[in-house]
Amino acid sequence: MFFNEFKYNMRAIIRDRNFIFWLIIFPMVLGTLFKAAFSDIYDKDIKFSAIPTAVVAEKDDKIFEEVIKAVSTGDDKLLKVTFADKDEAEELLKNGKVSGIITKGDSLALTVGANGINETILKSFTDSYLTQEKIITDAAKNDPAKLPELIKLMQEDTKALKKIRVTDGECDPLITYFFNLLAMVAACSSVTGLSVVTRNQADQSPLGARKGCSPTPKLISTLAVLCCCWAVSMVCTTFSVTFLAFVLKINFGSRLGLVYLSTMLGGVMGTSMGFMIGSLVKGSFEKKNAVAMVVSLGGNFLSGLMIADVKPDVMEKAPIVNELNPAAVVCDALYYLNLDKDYDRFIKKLITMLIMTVVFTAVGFIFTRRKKYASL
Amino acid sequence: MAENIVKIKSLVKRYGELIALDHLDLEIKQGEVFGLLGPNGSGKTTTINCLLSLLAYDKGSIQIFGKEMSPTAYDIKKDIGVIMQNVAVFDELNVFENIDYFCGLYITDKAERKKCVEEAIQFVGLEDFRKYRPKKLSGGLLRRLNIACGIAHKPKLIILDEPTVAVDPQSRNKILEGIEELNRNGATIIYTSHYMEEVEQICTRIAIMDKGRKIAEGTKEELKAMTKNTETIKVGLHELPDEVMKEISALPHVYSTDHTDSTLTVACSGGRHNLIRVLEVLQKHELHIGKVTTEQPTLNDVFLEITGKALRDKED
Repeated sequence: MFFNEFKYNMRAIIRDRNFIFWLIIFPMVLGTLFKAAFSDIYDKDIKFSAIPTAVVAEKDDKIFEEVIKAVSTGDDKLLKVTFADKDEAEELLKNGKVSGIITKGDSLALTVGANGINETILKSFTDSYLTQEKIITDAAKNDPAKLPELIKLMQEDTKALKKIRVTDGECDPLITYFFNLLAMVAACSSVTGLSVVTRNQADQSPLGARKGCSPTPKLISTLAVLCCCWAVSMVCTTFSVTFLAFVLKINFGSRLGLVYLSTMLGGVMGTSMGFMIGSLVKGSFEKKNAVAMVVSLGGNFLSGLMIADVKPDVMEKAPIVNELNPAAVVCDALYYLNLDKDYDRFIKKLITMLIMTVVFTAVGFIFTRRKKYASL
Repeated sequence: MAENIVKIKSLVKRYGELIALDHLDLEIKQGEVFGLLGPNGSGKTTTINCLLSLLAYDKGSIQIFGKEMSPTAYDIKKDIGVIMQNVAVFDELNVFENIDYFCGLYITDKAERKKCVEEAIQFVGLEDFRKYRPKKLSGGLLRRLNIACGIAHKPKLIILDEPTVAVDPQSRNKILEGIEELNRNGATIIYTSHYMEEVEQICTRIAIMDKGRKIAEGTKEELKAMTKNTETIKVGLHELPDEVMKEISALPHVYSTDHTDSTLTVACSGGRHNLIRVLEVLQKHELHIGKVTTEQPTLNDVFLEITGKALRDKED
């Protein structure tokens, strides 16, 4: 009887358009929109464009040529070099085709057309070359094998800022939007949880009434549908993580397995929340669905899905709301997982999810245990 | 004497001030096709819901198969087939899956269940629609699916609550024939309807309900015998002089006459040659006679006589 209920409710749920929209299509669309919206920021943050530079070699200098070759080749090249004579170089600078002209005569000279990051980096590069020319010349003469390493160090010096990790995790602030998205998928699993009630209560649907006439005990029937909804929500959250991680290439850090685990548990919690809402809210499925959506998306709003600044405010002014908001719990679990070196705060959030799941499920069962109805 | 399958004693159900069931007593014997007839709101569905322990009631007792019915009386429920007034199926499952699902609530053995499902599909004539989802079925086919879901596990007692509402005549006949066949195969049937023709056609015993009370019970012959009317004669007549009307009214067994819309209506109580006597009077006065019909009393006449109102609602 349990398996029969499980099997056919599973089929019914996965063929339900409402469910497909909220748990599969909506997160995919939102994830893609997030990715598109943040792509510029990511590109600026991650990609470094080589600086277009004109090089005028008035005198042959093997070492200088070697240095220029080293900084203008490879994946992480600093300069995009155009060798030219003085007039051509000036023309390129005038037309904005290059950011500066490096002239190598008896000494090294830099000509720039404006002030900016590229010009500053070129200045830093030429200054480094001049201060380290002696070292480079000696190295080229005495130990040519060390020359590439020396040039690499020189390149490093041109960077004004250096990112220092304070933890082992990924602390990209934009990733929290995707954590929130996963929290939303988990919270929206409440839609499936509602069906546990509507499909088993005689006063909720003809199907519920019909099942109430059968010899299958209500506890078995309800448990089977609930398990089925849990399984479906776990699959959906897994699908969302996979889509974000492998299709949209969102970097969830090195603990992807635990990201899957936490979102699956979040999905189970969301389903149980739907079960509880369905059992507490009296009235039609549409009414229950509206309440579940308000609670789910409201929770997501408070956890920063729509406006990131909301969450710090909630944490500061009403920390208990953040602690009890299912969406925030999922989001925080993912955040701590990626931010912290240890697992203390992450495990605390997982335990919170488990407790909430147990409480939601227990309330759901208590309020659906009635055997007879006053009216149908 | 056949044993009682269902015994309802002094059942009372209130919705606030409204008394939905007022000390209802019913006894249904094994092998019967028992009809619950009454207008909308008379308490038929409430009776069924109380009988199935879905609905709490205020007073009375219900026994099925000699045992007290309760929500956890699973040994009783396994032998009951229910066809609800509202079609109760999964929209997302196809015909086969729906029947298999409901059958699975009663039968756990896979092979046995498969056999039962196939037989149910054949029984309701949905062989060509087994892969169809409910939304693609017509109203009649959907009702047949609803019936298949209720009878696949071969129950001993089958409860059908208005199974032919919004069904085309072809499907209605198919459903009624099916119910008679189920009864021939040994099932006891409880059939609720506000269509008196259906109840007259298939039910061996009928209880007529109104305002939560049972107002009459018996076979259709017994019920009809409760009415004064035994025959209603209708004759098409453009003109009817007063003296002729008086002569007809004075005929033996005639208790009521009326002439409206060019039709003479003569209600008779008892007697064997009422039509001949009426026609003889009309012939004697050389009146031009149009269409002539005689009607036997219906359950509607019974209901009309007992309650003073027609059984069927206008919208039906």
